[in-house]
Amino acid sequence: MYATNKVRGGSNGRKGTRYEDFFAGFRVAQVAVDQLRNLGEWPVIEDQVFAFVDDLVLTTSAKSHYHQLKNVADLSWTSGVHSLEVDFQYQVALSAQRNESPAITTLIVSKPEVFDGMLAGIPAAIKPHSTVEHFPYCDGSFNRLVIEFQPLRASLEQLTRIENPTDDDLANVLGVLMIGLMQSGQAPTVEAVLQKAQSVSPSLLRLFPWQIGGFQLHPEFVNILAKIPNLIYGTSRGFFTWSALSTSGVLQFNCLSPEFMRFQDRVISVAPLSFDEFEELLP
Amino acid sequence: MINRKYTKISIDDDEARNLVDEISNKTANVGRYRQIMVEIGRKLAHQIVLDISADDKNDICVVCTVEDADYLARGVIDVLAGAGLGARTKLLCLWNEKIREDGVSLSPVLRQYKEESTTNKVDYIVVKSIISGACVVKTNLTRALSSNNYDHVFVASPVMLQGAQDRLAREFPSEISSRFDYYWLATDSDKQGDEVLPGIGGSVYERLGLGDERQKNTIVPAIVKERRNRLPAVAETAQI
Repeated sequence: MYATNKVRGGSNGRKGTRYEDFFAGFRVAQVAVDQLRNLGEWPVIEDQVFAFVDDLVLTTSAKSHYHQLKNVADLSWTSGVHSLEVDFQYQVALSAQRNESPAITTLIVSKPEVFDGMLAGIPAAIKPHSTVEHFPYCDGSFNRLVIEFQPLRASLEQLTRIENPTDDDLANVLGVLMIGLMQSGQAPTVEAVLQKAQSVSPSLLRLFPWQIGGFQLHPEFVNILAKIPNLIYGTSRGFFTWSALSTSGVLQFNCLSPEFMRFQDRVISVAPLSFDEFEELLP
Repeated sequence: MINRKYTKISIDDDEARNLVDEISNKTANVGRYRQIMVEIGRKLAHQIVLDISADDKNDICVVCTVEDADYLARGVIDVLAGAGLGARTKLLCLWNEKIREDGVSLSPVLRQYKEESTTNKVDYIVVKSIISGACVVKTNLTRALSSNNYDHVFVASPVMLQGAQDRLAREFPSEISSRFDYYWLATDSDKQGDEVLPGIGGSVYERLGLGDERQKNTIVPAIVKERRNRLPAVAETAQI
């Protein structure tokens, strides 16, 4: 009964503006970066689940990682009719009963002072499977979150469509990850969320190495660009980036798209000789 | 009934007040509208220059969107040059797109023209034809301030929607937002859909004769071409 009511009380649906939405976007970014380093099993991601620790869960065959988020100034492991300690204990028992992958439970808190207190005070009974993490709220601004929270920046930097991104590029990636989550339906894999995020137009999320495969620019396209003075270009993250004469940019569609094929064809057809002529061909 | 409050700049200056009213009444043709925006840029810049200390030797980076570059921003740059600050003035022109989905608003930068600064610290003048939700200004300011060399930040616009300053400030750490100084001519409090009323008389792209949202992003402003042609030649072709 308690678990049922707990879910009912929390299911407001994603709005793209909640603490939980920002955190879910962060977790998706972290998983994506992990997969970049070592491609393996994609976790399934769910929020507002029927569980004791119910804000977010990522599940693989190796573990079920449950998260409880608390954007509050005052918190305790043991207070309340249904304390966090009890919820975390019950969650592990429930997961075992359901034959889920071994459960770990993480408390996510927005205030650094709450983080310090809760980390130091993890009850012994739940310590083997519990951790605490700090994830700030920044008054609901994900622009501020990106500017201020280094762990988030570090993940997002790997996911932008260009190398050496600026802060607004990072915020854009977090934004499309949240859109991807909201449009992915119930219990998608993180891979499916990333694909949804990549489908937002203009495209702001990089292509991954397993997507880029053996892609190469058309040799004639390369020959033409080589003759344009001052032009530097690249495709390292699956998007065509260019730079010349203090002007730079990135195409709003990736290199595997029909739009990029058409762009290449247009450049080949016109064969620009200067940056001015090339610039006129940009979509 | 129009719900507009005029700022001190336009209360003290009849010409400024007439200009901001003229752009909002939808009768000006493209040529006149462009001229008004240049004049408003000059009016705003005159106020900003008064507040730049004589001891301030920073470069001054004018940050603008592609649609504002040849008009509002050009007026600002003209005044900076007239005040002897031309050599320190740099231009950052940004081509923004728009995503509004599921409560998430983004204004990603597709292209930029950026002149590099030579001083350790830089004063930024961010100009925008109208500041409403502040999504574009937030994005462009975030990009400009990414280099972490900011000193003073001047935000200038003909019209702001009520609350725009708070909305913008909330998107930045207080260490940054506390540096924002605002210069504008009128505050409007009404909106119909996305359009501020009376605002600047509708879609700025159309009033300036730049087409629609997609078409304006294909334009290279004349001021960008002029300034780019004055830059020294650089490296040979390379693939990165």
